[in-house]
Amino acid sequence: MTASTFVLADPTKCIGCQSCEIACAVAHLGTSITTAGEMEAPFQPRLRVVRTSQVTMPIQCRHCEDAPCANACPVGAIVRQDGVVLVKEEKCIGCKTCVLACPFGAMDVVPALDKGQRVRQPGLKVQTDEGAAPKERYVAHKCDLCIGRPGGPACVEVCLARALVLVKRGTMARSVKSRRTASAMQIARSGVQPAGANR
Amino acid sequence: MSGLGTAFGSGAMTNTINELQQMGPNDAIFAIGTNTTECHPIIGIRMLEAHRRGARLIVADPRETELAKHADVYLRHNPGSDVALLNAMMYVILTEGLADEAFIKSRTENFEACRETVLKYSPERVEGITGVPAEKVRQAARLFATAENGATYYTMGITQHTSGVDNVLSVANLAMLTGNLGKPRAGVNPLRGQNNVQGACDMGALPNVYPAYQPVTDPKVREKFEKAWGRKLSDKVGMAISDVLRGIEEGKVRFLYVFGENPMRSDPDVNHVRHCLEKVEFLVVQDIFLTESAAMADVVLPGTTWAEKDGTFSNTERRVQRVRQAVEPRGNARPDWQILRDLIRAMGYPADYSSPEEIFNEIRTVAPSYAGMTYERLEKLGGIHWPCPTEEHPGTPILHVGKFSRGLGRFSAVDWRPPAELPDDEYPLVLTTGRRTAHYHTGTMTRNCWGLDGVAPEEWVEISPEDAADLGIAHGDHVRLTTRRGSVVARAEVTDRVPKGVTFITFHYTESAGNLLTNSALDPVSKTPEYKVCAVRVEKVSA
Repeated sequence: MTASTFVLADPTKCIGCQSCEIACAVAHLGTSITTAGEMEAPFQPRLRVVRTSQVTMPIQCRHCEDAPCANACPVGAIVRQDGVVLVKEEKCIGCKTCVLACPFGAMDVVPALDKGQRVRQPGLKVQTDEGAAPKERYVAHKCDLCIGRPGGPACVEVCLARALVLVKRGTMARSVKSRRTASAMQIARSGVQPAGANR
Repeated sequence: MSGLGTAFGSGAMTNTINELQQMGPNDAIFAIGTNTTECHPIIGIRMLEAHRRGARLIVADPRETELAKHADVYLRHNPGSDVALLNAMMYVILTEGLADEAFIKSRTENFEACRETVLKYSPERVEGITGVPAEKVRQAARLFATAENGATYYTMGITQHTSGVDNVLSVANLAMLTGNLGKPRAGVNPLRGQNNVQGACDMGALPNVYPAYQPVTDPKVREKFEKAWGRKLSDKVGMAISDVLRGIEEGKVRFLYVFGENPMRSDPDVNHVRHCLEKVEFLVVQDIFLTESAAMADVVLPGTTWAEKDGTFSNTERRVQRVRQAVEPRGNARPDWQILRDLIRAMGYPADYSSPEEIFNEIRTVAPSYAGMTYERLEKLGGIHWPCPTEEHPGTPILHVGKFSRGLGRFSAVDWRPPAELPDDEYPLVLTTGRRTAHYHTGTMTRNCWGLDGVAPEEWVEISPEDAADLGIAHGDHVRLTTRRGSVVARAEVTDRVPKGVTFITFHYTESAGNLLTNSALDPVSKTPEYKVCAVRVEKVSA
């Protein structure tokens, strides 16, 4: 199986407008945004813009080849499918181990939604003075590369600054090759010789 | 508008947005008092693209905006010190022989007075006012003045001061000093905050002019409009918003008709605005939602949204474009022009317009700068820049080519004045205001949008790490901001984006309304309030 593709932002282009967050949340909403507004569906993007005095850019899943989130999951709810590291919501128990394991901060645990509507879990109830009350279901939440979406990842499509790109294996190979060439040229131009070369 | 009118004879953006796409290594962008990437994101992206192609980028702002992060030179000047900063840049340009002498000689007047004043402002001498190291000012001045073309962009960071007109005059001085007018990739470019605020001004929605900036005090102009409209007209200048509020307090204004505006959140010193709106005898508000202002009205008239209306918008670069209705108005909402037509009719004037196009054609007969535009031409050309005097005229993307609208460009001698309210022991920090990308103005529309409110659901006040540490405030704490006029609670964003001594709040959130805090002190000429500087006290709110 080939190396997975992933979405990456260019901090020199990003203006921090958060359109990607909105596009992501809408793409996974399962209903229209007007309906979402009327029923106050939670806003749950799968990437988040980081904004500090040094850098502004969204951070999202890298779809790691040996994904720590999947390796850490005690119930096998995170799988690799069609080159995408994917959460199988139906299996997730909301334990947050994946959140702790992810080195990029790309995992979250959020309310599970069905067509924008919060859902109750069938299992564990909340103990109250009036007895057992239903509890909202929470699940692991991460970038799924908009799997099955005709236009590809919604965040890439919406970015007006063209700061987001879908990095494919070929893109990486080309970039690595051109950097390798540039390094070689730089060494040649600098006239530096390896120690002992003149011996 | 007052400032550029004085200097050039026209208050509008001199050049066009698309010129940014032609900018490269010989060009310079000077952005002062504009958070362009956040408030005009498309223009901001074009600026960054131009910068990547090699255009020089100079940014002056008290807050380190996204644009500032990318700048070749970033000038973090103290709020309200713009005149001193601009004069210091001009000092460098003058004393280092970088001024465009030929342009000054052939195209301008009153240069000597300006020069005399500027020479009092060496970068070293004004460091105490601006807070900007002299060497940085020198770098910025050289970078701008040695570029073949230099375009200046500004917004409310320049205008919303008690010295707003002086700030604009200084920007105009700098552009003339470097010969950056009447040519592409240059100019003085006030970016308008709304899709049609230029159009509203063009139509005479100002106290002193008829459509196309024809003065109400000019007898010839009055005669022309009396003939066109078949009624006697007043020769007196009307009231600015601040005068209206005072008029209500004094019992001189008894009826107020507000549309497409939410003064209960957008005007400074909201507690005072509330007092006035409660006092006025009869208040009519026309809007698309029941805003905080509409909730106080005796009569609410439901207008239509952008998607429900037809007509034209005149954007920041003076380009008139068609807007087309996409859906039928909901409920009992009606297009603004129909509501106004019926009101005019009810007042006894035979207004019988049947379409926005018919109204547009009447505009063409009285506004010479719109005379050559027809709906057909707007459609075909995708918009036309005014002035466009005849149907053969291609429109005017760049103003002041060869000659200023007023003839010669006029330099002004401008001295720095401090803002109206500065920090003291009781209110030790400066509060400045602005916007966030996701929200528009008082949030009337955007806070009702699921996605837009989703990314920015609450106010986060910016405070520097130093001030936060002094006040025992941690990132995310709830804080209370108090000024002489009011008090609001919001979350604290502890960030280097603001310097020590400066805090920042928006005016988007009704539950943390920034304009409860702002000062209504006015620029003496333009009557624009000083939204950008007031004194504030910040305290942690215990949970």
